[in-house]
Amino acid sequence: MYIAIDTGGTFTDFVVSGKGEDLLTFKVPSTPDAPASAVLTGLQRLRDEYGFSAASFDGILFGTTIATNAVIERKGARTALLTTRGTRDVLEIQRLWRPRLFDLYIQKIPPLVPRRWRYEVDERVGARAEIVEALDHSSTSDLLERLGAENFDAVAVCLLFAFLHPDHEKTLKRLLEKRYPGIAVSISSEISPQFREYERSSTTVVNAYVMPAIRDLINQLENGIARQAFRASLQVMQSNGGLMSTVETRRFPVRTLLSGPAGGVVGAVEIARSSGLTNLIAMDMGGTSLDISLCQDNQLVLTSEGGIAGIPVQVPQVDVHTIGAGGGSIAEVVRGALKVGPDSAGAEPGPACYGRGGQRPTSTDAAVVLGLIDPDYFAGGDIPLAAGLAVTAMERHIAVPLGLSVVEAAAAVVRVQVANMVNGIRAVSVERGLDARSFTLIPFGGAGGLYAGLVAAEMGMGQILLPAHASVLSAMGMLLTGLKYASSRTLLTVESDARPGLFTTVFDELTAKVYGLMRDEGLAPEDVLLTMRCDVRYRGQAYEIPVECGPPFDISRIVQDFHHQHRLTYGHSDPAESIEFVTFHVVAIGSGSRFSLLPLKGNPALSNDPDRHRSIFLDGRHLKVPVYARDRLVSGQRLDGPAVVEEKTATAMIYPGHFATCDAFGNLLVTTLDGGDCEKD
Amino acid sequence: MVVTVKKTDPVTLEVVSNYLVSAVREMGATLRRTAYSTILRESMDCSAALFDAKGQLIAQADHVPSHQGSLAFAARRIAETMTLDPEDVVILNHPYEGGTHHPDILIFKPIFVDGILCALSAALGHHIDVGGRSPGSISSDARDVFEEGLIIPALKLYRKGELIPEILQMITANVRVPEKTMGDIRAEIAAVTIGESRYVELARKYGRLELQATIEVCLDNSEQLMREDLARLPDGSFSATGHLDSDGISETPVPVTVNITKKGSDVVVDFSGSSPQVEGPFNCSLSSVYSAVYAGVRYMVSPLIMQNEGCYRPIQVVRPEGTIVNPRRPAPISGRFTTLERIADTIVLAFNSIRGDDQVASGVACVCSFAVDGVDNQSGRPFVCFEIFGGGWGATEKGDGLDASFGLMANCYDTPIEAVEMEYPLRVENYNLIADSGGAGKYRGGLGFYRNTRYLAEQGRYTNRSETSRFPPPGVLGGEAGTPSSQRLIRAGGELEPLPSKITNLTIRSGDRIEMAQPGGGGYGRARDRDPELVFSDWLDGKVTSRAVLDVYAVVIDTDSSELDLEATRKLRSSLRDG
Repeated sequence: MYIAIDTGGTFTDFVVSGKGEDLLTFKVPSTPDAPASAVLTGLQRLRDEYGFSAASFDGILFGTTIATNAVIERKGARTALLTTRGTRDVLEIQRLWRPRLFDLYIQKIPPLVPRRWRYEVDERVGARAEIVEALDHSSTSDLLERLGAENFDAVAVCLLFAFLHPDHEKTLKRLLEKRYPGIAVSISSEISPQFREYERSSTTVVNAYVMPAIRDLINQLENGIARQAFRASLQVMQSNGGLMSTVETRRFPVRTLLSGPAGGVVGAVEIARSSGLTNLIAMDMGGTSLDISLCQDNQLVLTSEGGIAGIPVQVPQVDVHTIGAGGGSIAEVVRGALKVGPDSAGAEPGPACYGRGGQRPTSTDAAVVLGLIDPDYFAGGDIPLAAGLAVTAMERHIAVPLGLSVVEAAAAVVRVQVANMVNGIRAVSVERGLDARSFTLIPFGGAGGLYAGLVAAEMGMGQILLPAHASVLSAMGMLLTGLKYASSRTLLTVESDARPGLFTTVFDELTAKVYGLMRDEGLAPEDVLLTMRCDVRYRGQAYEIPVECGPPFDISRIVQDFHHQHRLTYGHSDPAESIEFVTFHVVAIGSGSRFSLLPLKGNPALSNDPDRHRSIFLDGRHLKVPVYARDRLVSGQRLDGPAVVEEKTATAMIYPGHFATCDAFGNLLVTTLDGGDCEKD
Repeated sequence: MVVTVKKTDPVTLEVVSNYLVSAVREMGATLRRTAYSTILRESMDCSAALFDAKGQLIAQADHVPSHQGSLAFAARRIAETMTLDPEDVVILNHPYEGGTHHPDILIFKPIFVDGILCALSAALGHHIDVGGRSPGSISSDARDVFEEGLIIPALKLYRKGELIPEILQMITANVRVPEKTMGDIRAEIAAVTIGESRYVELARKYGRLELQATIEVCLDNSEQLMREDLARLPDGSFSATGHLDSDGISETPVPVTVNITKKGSDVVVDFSGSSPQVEGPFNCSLSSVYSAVYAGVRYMVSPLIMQNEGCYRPIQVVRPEGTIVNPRRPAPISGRFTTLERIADTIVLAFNSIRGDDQVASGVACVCSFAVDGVDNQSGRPFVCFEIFGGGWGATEKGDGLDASFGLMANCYDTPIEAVEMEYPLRVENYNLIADSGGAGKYRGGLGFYRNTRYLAEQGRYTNRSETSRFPPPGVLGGEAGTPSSQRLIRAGGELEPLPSKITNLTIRSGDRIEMAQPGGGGYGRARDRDPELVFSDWLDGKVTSRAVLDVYAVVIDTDSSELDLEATRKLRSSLRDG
């Protein structure tokens, strides 16, 4: 059996999966100030409340937002940056570029390491990997002494051309770790060994900045897990949609920046695939934010030119657009205008209706006021809500200032929230030239299903898939993927010098490395799927095109594939031009899927009738709306809006004029009134 | 023929306009990712755009403001004077016939739908060299356009899909690093071909006529938004004058005067009073003048308005003949970027007179171009390195000016040090901010920066077109000026040679070090009104020196304990006020 645990801003989700058994899911409030605590509480519950034996688990899979939050909230470690003499300000100059034209007031994003904590080192490596100036030992030891006064928790090192000749960085790392035991050191030649010093520094700095927090968290978790007598190993979700060991997590925390969203995207892609849908916009609504991603042809879209909060991070990651529109987004009246988010009440104090001291109304409070959420059945009744507190907050902060009734105020909050969500969807679709109307919307997270119908109507999207277990899709994604390691080596080789033997040598070396990492986690080579590729370009270009290859290496075929790919990507190719092989990659994915969706155990006699009715304020009036329990729907069942579908940890709304059909796995396919030119399965 | 088109629905309008913007971005990305020279693939000194069949700008990628508007003149000229067939590709760089300056090679491809010419797909790439008297083809002392490099009038490089190889042969024979030039021309062709495909896809989806009607609505929308924003500013007539250091030949400063009349939602920019055309290459080609005026006015309105022909409709330009903004052929023009940065900066300064407290200080107001050539000892091949740099921005009512960026008219990237050194026998030894270079003020000007480069090939020529060395960027409302630019050469033997801001073909040898200090921006408001905490923070970061903290900002810091003394600061500032 496996446990997947996904930490969100508000809740930590637990999903337990065993062969041939239904999933067990539950939620625990997140504990942002002590992130390990919620995880250990949940594990405890698993034994005490659900009666599992700790020994029965084979693996614990973990998604974390700790690195993301540290960067976004700028609460990472006190970090120093060591650079080659003359390049102290590369991190701040940010290549002179500004993100928008025609704005006289524009500001750059302040670097994570301010100038006062950036230090220059006397050394220089040249472009042919030659040492121009050896690392100066006396000035280096002086510098190391000076660092002591600032009490740094982490040090990033990014020296020019370290990706060609890493010795100076390695020496500094050794000296730093010796002089300051326990300090977190990240060197660019390990974190992001590629040219362009600004982007490499930025990535290395982020790694250092989040490393102490990740290390503490992993230590606490591993200790806690051992204390509770679990023998299963912990693996962590990476931004690239695969898992990694805790050893690698401690070294490369920058790879966890999109840990949670990556799980959600993997989950959404797999659910869509099982429902026969290929083009989707996934929308993960958590307590604090909304993560939106678009997938075409069932492909996970990875980018290596991504970043976080405007800071470049050059590790492969799922392409996710995040906006501040979650269940905890705070509604307020600013100069007569109603705003919702991006500030969030988070888990503590949480929305007013949580009764934990939150005074300001949130979008969850609005949903309670309108009747969209049943206060007695929130998180399956685990978290009782106080509707009265929602009403009070809504009245004081929204209704009175705007001169509205309380329900009107709540409806206005929902309208603004939906408009924010629509803007987020536009950013990944129409702003990239893709017509959202030909995609299926897949909402998940606890509240995604409440708003999806309104969002789809606003966007003109014809189809929504409300996945089963929507509130824990990110955790499910972890169960559906495997360990994923990549290893690469840059070895500039011109076409005329390329020999199959060279390819064999390089790929053998890289393969041995990833097999080693897999073996550390108990996976034998036969359990590992390898893909090999080589980044290729025309001599003189600076950007490469990845070409897949494999033994026996046929150089002329790789060359032909490159010309073909170049033509496909850019519309032209030049077979007469000479090409060069730049970087060789091996990506290894451990056999993953730890569960499969089980078909519904249909009992038609049970269902078709709603469980009960509840009054919901819709389109300016109160309607009596049927409420269906999701676990009692049967395959093929049709629900006409308005209708509410409730499950333990998520509520979905089918709006008037929309209708839903339940598929064999319990997913609901909603057709909206606006039925666009969407693919039909 | 009368065509009835159903009223454009708002969703289609949004989807189409965003699709067009994303199409031109994709064109730009294609250009960068397939280009060969560092100036294109690293610095992104390039642009991509779509025009309608009349040459009206439909959409342009957010790259370089100076290219915004300037491609339109070539588009219009091609639309009006050439008979185009499907799969034609047109190439040109003629600065008096639609081009900007010699190194910018423009590529156009007509877009046909159902056999009807509907649009033009366009790319502009700054090429590393197009021949002429100096490597990099931007000299500071050319006396006519013929000295400045190869001139290509609008020619068909492809006729109905068939390459005319003689044109490429002609170009190859006239440039210093033909393999780069040819690679970059291919990249531009790839970009315009992507633009063509995207437009055709859109036309297939929405219908040719519907698409064209929707595009008209996009243009009208931008015009309307421009006019709404302009109408909010007070009406009036106002002027400002800025100066170039020199024309590169004599040492006389060159005035650029703008007289602006703003009435309702219309703006007229009249250059009467500006310098007569100059002997050196700082005259401005037609398209460059317009792009500078468009940009200057664009800075007065919301940055979020979609960039297209509609943005230009409220703006008129008066260019007296024989002046620096309307030179007679064959006056040299390759340094025109300096002039157009000065025009945009001067327009912003002129508008200050109707902006109350919301004023903006002057900034770097130039793009410094750095070019060296030589033979690479390792490969034995000739090389030309061309790089561009900016400086600090002027401070505003809302905060400090940007440290280290390009000026108002450019938004490129630097060339990474590692890219420079992998490509050329050069070593960049310093690329850091300059303390105290931002003009002091309640908000300080953005900092300038050093770029020091050591030359490692045997011998070559050095050319630099820089500016702002004699007229440092002024501050506003009591803010101080930023520092001027400066540069010097330190010979391998240690001799130091100060250099003017404009140099052409200076001989340099192995071990020589070129040191450039880029200018800082002007400050906003009085330095003694600056929040002491901000001064302290700048001091901790080494952005202001201890001397400036006390003498200029009147802030007291105990340098032994590194603590800000607020009480002593208050007393000092109060005694200065009373005195």
